[in-house]
Amino acid sequence: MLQIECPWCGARDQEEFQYGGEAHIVRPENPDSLTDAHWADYLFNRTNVKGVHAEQWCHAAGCRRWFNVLRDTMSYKILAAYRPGEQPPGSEE
Amino acid sequence: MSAKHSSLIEIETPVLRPGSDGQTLFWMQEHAFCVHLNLRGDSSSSVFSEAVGAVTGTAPPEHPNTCVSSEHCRLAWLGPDEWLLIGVHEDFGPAPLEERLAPLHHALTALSGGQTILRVGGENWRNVLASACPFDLHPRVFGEGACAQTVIAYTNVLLMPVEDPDRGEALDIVVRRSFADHLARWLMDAAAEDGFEFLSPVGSP
Repeated sequence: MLQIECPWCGARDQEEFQYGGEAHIVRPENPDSLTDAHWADYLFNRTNVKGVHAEQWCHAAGCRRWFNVLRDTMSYKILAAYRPGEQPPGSEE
Repeated sequence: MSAKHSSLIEIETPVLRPGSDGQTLFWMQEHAFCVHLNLRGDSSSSVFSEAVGAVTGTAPPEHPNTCVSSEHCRLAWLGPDEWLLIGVHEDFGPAPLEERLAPLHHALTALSGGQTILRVGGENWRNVLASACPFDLHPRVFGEGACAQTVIAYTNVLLMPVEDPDRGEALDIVVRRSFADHLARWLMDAAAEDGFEFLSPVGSP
């Protein structure tokens, strides 16, 4: 069982959370001007990293807020949790 | 108009069922028909906090997982811009607050019919709850003035430690009315070994 650090509520059991897929995916500004391949890439293709992965989680049974988590997909270790709109810790703008 | 019924009408109370060694180390009691209001707004705006304070007697708590009480009501933190307001008296309605907040960006939703309060206590209440709740209930980290939303037996709940005037240290569990029966039966089953007493509900329709 994982313990996830909600940016508001602190460390809570994984049972209280819902997974929401990869984080920091930006919707293209002008979908009309995209090719089908580009649009499909935005909709369906994910990085599927082996290692540190930025992903969205929702504290569904707690404060019901979405936030981002850095998790190592090999060890399942949670490295950081940060609020939406913030950059992952350690990254440069 | 039909009469109001307690969410736990299917369970005939009071129930007294001592444990295997004759002791009763757990009790529970529904606090029915309280006024529940969900309040949303921007607590960093002093105008909002003051407007809420003027009606409820206390500003909404800004610190996560804390609750405050006044003589009229209790206000529990649910999210960065969301609180649960529980009226102590039945006549604590949404109208005065709605009037006061009207010019401000806010949302006030009446939940009174949608949820109820189950108060639990007794010598072994932490052990009984720990068997189905992933949240740490130890008094070192969860004492009076705290609150927490979590799950008990797969049911979403809000927990608030309280001091029961008659029975001492206790815990208020705010639960959806449709899950209240499941939760109460689950707790009765969990407490069977320790022995439990299920008191008749407090509050009138």
